[in-house]
Amino acid sequence: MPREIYLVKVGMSMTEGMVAEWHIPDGTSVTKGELLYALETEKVNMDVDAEYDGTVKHLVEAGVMQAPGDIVGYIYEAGEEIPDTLLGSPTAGSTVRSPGAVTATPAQSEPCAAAAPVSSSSATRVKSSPLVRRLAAEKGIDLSTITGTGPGGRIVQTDIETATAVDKPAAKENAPPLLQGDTIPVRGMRKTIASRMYQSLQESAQLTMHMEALVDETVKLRQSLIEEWAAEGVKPTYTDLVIKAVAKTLTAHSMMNSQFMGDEILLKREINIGMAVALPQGLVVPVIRNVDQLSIKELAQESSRLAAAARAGGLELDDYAGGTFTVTALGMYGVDSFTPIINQPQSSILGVNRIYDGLEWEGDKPLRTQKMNLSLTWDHRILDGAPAAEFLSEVCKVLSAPWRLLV
Amino acid sequence: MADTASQESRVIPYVSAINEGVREVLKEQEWSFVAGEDVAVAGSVFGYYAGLLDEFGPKRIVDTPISEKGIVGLGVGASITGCRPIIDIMFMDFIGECMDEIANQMAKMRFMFGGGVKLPITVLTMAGGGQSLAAQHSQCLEAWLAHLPGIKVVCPSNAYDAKGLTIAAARDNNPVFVILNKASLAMSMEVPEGSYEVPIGKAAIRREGTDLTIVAISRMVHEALGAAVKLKELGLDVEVIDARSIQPFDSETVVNSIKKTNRALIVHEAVRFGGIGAEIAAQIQEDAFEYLDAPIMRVGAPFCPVPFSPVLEQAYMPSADSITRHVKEKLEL
Repeated sequence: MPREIYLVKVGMSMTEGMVAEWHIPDGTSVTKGELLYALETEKVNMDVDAEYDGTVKHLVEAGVMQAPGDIVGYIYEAGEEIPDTLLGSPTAGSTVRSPGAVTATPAQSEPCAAAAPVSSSSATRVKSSPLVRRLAAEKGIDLSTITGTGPGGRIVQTDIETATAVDKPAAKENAPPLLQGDTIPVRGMRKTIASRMYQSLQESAQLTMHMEALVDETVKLRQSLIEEWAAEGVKPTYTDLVIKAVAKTLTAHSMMNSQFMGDEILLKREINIGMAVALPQGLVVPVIRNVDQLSIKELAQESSRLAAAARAGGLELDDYAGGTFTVTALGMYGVDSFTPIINQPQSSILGVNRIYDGLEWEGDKPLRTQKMNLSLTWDHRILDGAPAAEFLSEVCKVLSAPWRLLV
Repeated sequence: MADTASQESRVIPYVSAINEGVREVLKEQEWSFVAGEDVAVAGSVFGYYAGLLDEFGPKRIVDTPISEKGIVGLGVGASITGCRPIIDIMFMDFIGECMDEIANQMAKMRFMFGGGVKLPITVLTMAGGGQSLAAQHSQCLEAWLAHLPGIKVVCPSNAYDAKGLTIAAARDNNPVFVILNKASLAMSMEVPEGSYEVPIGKAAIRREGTDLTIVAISRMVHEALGAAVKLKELGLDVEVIDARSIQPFDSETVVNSIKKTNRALIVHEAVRFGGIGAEIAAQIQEDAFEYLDAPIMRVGAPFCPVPFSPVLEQAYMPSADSITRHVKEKLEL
């Protein structure tokens, strides 16, 4: 009997994923432990290795979105009869699930235990409202691709609206014919970013204010810290110092570190700051935990570890979890101000811009100074402009006297 | 019968609006009269016939013995001879006493005589709890009547409709029950002087909204409007429809609203089981099934008699709070 190759489930929240690339071509042999395929989900990219020796036959091609637990191919033992091709056969995309047949490379990411058997009846029954079924039929939407957010997981109208708004923004009856061009499928990380950013703007009252910080002292502090820690290779970035200034200020401005929950506002105890890291395939936001309790050195080490892991595709699920505030930097591109979008369910996000030569006046005498704009987006449902400005102003004050970060 | 309503309107309570409606009918229809228990000398125990005996005399405002069977029988007989009686049943709870006259005579006679007779009879009767009048004087039994072909049933929720529907009922050549509400008697609003009709068979949209339609009956309209304010705070924009005409029922207004909001809740003070809300829910799913984004919700009294204890009675009757709670629970807000 050939052994099944499953689409591995990584994390409880994984609802879909795909074989991004087959490392072992169709019909060639593999040895146990060898990298078999690259898994891509909305959150994680990782490699899955082979559990058995044998000949690999692909059941699905790379790039086909599937549910975790789906069979993507088989490994045939020596002596077994190997068919010419399995691609496109009727069993492709079937949702037969079985636990434990495959191990994932990051062993601690609770993969196969989570791929517990799901009964086929619950997998095929999609709960949806009558309205949704009519809309889905009109728009040609496959309801099994949509996650329901209504009572009991029912797919309701907003779910269809979210799905269609993200997937087909320009699909209007009288829209002019599409101009010729290449298309890029929206999936995986791109799809997640698209729907989360869109939803964030739809579901909260966001606005942005900008404030100028005098950062001469911060520039000096950073330079001296780099020299101080040169031997250890610890090199704090401006963003690190802003993150530390934010964490220090948040301890006295808990409304900025909160979550709007309809009837109440949750003031979070922990100060866990997400830092946005740009990757070629999209943005990821690993989280530095308990920043208020970290020294600048510890913070710099942690942020450089996360940034390196993000670029190498090695972030664990834990690295994403629990963020309460986000800092995002575009200063390295020369950006002077922007309007970052809140990373829900957080209440605020701070944009870090470039450092430039500014002008201050000492009496009649012009002084050359170093300045940086900070762009704060917050949720007006939680707090008003005045307290948000107080928070931002305090962050700027800390950056102009950064010795306060050392005590 | 031409309307004489002027531009002038004053703020008057529901109880006075009924009085004005009856007075306008008595003035414009020579063959109309009022008959019932304590309607003449006492002006009704609720006061809505006050002053009519002095103005129209004892031949047109008639106190009767305590016999609902006799009163309704009198009304049915008088109406087929060309009179236009306004019959008063003090408490709706007592229609059991005269149900044969209502169900087998009043409702059927026009059909059984091949249209050869008209029955221009109006019955005013009082329903509803909230006054600690206990199980036999507090019921809402509109569903009993709405089940009878041949009878129209209206439930005015406010003073303007109480007057306008009373006049429309008295001008109608078919039996019409105007079901009044005790707890609404003191509710005041602007009501025009003179006569005007509120058309039977038309619902009224009392508040426009986009996320949920509440279809409410009689005093529950006000509770639904209260719930709409609370639900607005939770981000739910509620449309409130006053289903003031139970029979015929204005399905079109309700269905059009649900095609817009995609969610429906029906609230009435009557017992939920077998109440008119069940019929409305059935019509909605028949005509707007593919527009529904959530199961149709119903709020009504529990399946037990109206309690005498004021505390229990308040818990028993649907309210803005209980409607809000129900919606929050069912929609997981």
